[in-house]
This record gives sequence, structure tokens and C-alpha cells, in this order.
Amino acid sequence: MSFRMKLPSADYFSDLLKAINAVADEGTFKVSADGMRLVAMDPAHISLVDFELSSSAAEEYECSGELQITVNISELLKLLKYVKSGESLTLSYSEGERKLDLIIIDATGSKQRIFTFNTLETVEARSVTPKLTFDAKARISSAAVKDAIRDCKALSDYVKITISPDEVILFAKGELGGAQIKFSRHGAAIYEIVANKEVWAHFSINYLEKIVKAGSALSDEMTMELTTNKPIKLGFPIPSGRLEYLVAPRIEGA
Amino acid sequence: MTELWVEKYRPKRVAEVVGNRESVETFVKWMKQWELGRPPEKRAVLLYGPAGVGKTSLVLAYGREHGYDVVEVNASDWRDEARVKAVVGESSLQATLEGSTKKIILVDEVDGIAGKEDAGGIAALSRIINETRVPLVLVANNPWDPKLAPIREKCLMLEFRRLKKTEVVKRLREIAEMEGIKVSDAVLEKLAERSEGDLRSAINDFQAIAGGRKVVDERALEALGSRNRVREIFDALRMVFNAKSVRAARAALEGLEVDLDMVYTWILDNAPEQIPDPADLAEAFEALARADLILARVNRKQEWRLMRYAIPVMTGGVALARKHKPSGFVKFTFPPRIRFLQATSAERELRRSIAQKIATRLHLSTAKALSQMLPYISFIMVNDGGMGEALARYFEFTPSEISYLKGGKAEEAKEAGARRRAVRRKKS
Repeated sequence: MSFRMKLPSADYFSDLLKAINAVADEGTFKVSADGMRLVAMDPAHISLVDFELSSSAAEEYECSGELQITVNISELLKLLKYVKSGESLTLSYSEGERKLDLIIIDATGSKQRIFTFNTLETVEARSVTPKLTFDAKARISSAAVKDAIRDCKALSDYVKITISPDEVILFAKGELGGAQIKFSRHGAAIYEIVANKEVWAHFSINYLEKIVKAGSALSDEMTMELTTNKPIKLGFPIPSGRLEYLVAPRIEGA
Repeated sequence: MTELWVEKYRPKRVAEVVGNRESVETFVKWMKQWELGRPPEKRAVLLYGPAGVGKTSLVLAYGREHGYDVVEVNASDWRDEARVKAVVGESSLQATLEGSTKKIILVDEVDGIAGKEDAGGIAALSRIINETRVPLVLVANNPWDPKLAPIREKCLMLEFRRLKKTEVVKRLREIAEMEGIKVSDAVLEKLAERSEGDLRSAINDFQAIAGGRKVVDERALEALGSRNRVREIFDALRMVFNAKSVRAARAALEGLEVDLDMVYTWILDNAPEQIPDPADLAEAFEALARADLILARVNRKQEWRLMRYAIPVMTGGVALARKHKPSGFVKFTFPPRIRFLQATSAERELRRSIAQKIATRLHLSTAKALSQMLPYISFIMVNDGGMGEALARYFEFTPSEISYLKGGKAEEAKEAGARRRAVRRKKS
């Protein structure tokens, strides 16, 4: 069985990998005729990434059957560190070789770079996302959230995220003081709030920061879905694909 | 690739965990307290004992049976404080991705961090134990490493012993049945014997000799070859004293997992009984004295390459000196020096940990803290309650350390020492 995919922009694929890398160092791409999907958790089981790219995102796409390709994403990113805009990327993998080939061709087609990348043994890991329902949802500017988290980080390791029918609030409190960033539903940063009550939970800034930083490079807009003291779901709409994260909340009052 | 049997037949429920019932039940009770929402006083357990006796399996089985998310981290992957904090620390405060608190953090090979250049890893772990909101399970082969002292007293200590031969055979038999393999009890017993109570290695050996076949007989055992097994110290001593050549005497120490200084003491203390002829004994002591010089030099200058001279001298030198054998069998005795050190180990450990705390606070060496500060602090604690309490807070002494400083003799330390001695007596 083999797989081949040509993407118009190597740059973009590199950003997608960075978004996965915000959670996991290693991951298994499940590749089928429809496209590729990857679900991975970080080693502490605090965050999860659910990534999907449909075959329609590719210029050329061939895949016979279903394949699992496990790679070290941090290492793969090193190969893609110096891609320039306009360069295309072709990924190909054949099951026998267990190697992933990357072919990067520049805009004029005059230079071709070919990398061969060793893949890893696939270990059975979590591949389904937990089924969760959420009481509130907000669509919000990803850049605004990124800045708000940066402000909170100056004071604390944790941020309390609140979604109420009227606003989204990020609140952090540390030894030196507190920070509160409010986004009103009428403001420019908020596109939509769907909530009939106030919900909130605390999250580790370290995890949120990495995710929002990588996600905001891919999408100007993000969704937040939340239930009080339950995991938060962060979604970044990407063309012909899906990029969603879950982050576990802090345990309260134990 | 065929699936490894150790994974395939890993216990799926706590009841399937082989052996060590007492520790298993204590662990289950400890987990029950978490389950009832009343976290136990000791928020971490330290499961310790040799490899392959079910420490990790117990935790995984419990997690699986009761629907816990087990976050497994291997301590040898991270050593510095930052990594410990990022993974274990963060995880110990967050819920699961389902939003529940049913999570167990399993830190394997904790002694691995202590042995290597530990950049605050143990200290970070110690702080995490104070604050964790989910059960924290630490696993170690050797929990008595002095560096683990700060976390040892915060953990519920659960010992896992080598499994009994019958327990190993029984489990191998079950696996044989599930795999549909015909095999005699004799073969399984050989495998169990070889494993020395390590079920994992027994299962691995079994899978290796089975090699996919459905009938396994004694000839298959030959395939395992002769692994250099860990020999008991008594066997090694017998070989040393009875060796006919330096080479044979030296070979006695191969595969022996005992500290070389310890072996030296064993040989030295047993020599007078094993060598009846005074002239022989004098010659043997000459060799031992020479070896002692070399060992001292190794220690002082950390010149480990000199070790290769010490070993033949202390083994071969003694063996060749022994030209007359005692009439009849003389049994080897446990060196009194080692016995004394073991009997006082709890107390010495306590003194060391007190001295370390004083040393850090007062910018002294631990030796100075021990000889110059400890007596004064102890005197103050005995005679001035208020000041003593303030000092205890300042140095962050634990209750057992305080009682040692106050009582002149630490009751608890004595008890612990007695307990350990009792355990050892039962074993031998």
C-alpha cells in the first residue's frame, strides 16, 4: 500500500505541523482515500490535538487502502524549517520501506530538494476524542486571545476563562497581582457568543499559550467551547480540514 | 511482528496480578480513599522491589479496571526540575480530558533520576507530592538511595518481593494454556528457577523458547544458553576460597550484584575460619592488605582503572594462599561490620538528612554540620521548647528528625531498623 500527496504550499504544511507540535512530539497520521487524520495527546495527558486534512486540500492525492504513518514531528519540522513561500511539497510513503519521502520544489520548478525521513513504530495510543458537550461557545479573534494570554502569563501560571452571554473574560491572579481581559460581545474581537449562562474553568497557561500561538498562525478566528470546570475545546477553522484542541481544566478545591 | 506475551498477558484486573498480595491490597485501599474523595494523608505511594514482579502492572491493571487515565512517565526521560514540573507537576493539578479527576500519575524508574545528574528533579517531585490532587505512584528498584530520602518519608512505601517459584510456574501454565502450547511442568519449573522470581523475564524466556511452536520440550531450554546469572554472595565466596587458579577466583565475582567493598569485607571476615593454617592465613592477609591499599586508592583518587588489580589480589591471592583446607565444612558468616552498619542504617540515614538540612541552611559542609552544629541544635531542642520549635521550622525538620534530636535516641529510627532486620532474617 502506498500514499502520495502533493500540497501547493510547503510553508502551510509546516505551520500545520507546528500546530500539532504544540501538543505532541510524536504522532500517527492515519491516511485513507479521504485524507489524513491525527489525534495525539501530550505526555501529561493535559491537552489533545485533533487534526484532519481532507484529500481536497491537495493538488494531487493518491492513497490505496488505509495506512498509519508515525513520525517524530519535532524532527520532521527541522526538515521543513527553511522552506520558502511558493515552494510545493510532495509527501510519499510506501508501507514496505517505512520511510516518508518529502520532495520540495521551488516556485519556478528549477530546484528540487528530496528528503527521506525514517518513520517510527506505531504504538497503540488514544485515537478517539472524548465525547463532550459544551454549555457555551464563543467565536473570537485568535490574535486577541493570544495577546490576552500573553498578558496573563506575566502574572500567573493559570488563567480562568469565563464565557457569559455578554462577554468572554480571561482572568489571572498571581503573587504580584492580577490581570483581567474582557471582550464584550459587541466588540470587534468577538464574532459570536452562544451561551445562556456563565461558565468558567482554570487552565494552565503553558498549554494554552503554545496552542493559541500555533493556531493563530493558521487562522484569524477561533472558537472556544466550555462547560464549568470541564475541558475547553479550541477550534481553528482551516480550509478543507479541521484543527481542534482539548485542554483539561485544573482540579478545583481538592 | 508478533505481540509480546508480557504485553498480551499483562493483568487486566487487580485480581490477576501475581503475588505480593499484602502490598496489592494496601495499594487498593489507598486508591479507595481517593475514590471516596478523601485523599489519603500520604498522597504518593512508592512501589519498590526488583524488576518484573508486577509493580507497574498493578497500577495499569487498577487503572483499567476502575476507568482511570494512567499518565505514565519514565523518570529516566527527564532529570531536571523543569521537565518534572512540566509533565508531572502540571498533570498532578489538572483533570483528565474527559473532565474527571480519575487519573493516576505513574512515575517509573524514580531511582533513575537520583542516580544521574539530578538537577532538582527529586526536590521538584517532593513539592509535587505536597500539592498533587490526583494519586501519584512512584516506582523504583532501589528506594534506599540517600537522594530519595526527601520523597521517601512522604510516600506510602509498598514493597514488592521476588515472586515465588510456584507463582511463576502457575502463571506460565496459564499462558501455555491460552496459547495452546504443550509443555511439561519440568520445563516451566526450569524457566521459573532461572527467572529468580522475575515473572517478566520468565514470560519473555518462555516466548523465546516457544518460538511459535505448539510443543515445547526440555531441549528448547538449551536455546536460552547460559546467561550470567546474579549469583548469591555465598556461592561467590565458596568459589573464591576453593578456586585453584587466579582466573577461577576472579570469575567468582562476575555477575555478582554486590558492592566490591562489601565483597572485600566478606572475604576478610571469613578468611580466619576458612584458612586453618596460620602461615596460609598470614599470606592471605598479606594479599588482602595489598588489595585494601588499592581499594583505598581507588576511592581516594577515583582511579577506577586500578580496580582490575584489586580484584585478582583479593580473590586469587586469598585462594592461592589457602594450601590447607579445614577438616569438614565451615560455613560462611555474615560480617559483623556489615551487620552493624545495617542495624544502624536508619539512624545514620536520619543523621545524614538532618545534617544536610543544616548544611544547606547554614552554608556548611555536611561533615561540619554533623560534628559542630547537630549537638548544639539537639541541646537546644531538648532544653528550650520554644526555641527548639522555631529551629525545627527554620530547618524544616520532619517529625522523626525532631524526635531524634529531642530524644537523643530516635525511637522511630530504631523501630525502622528493627523492622528491616526482621525482614532480612525472614528472607535468609
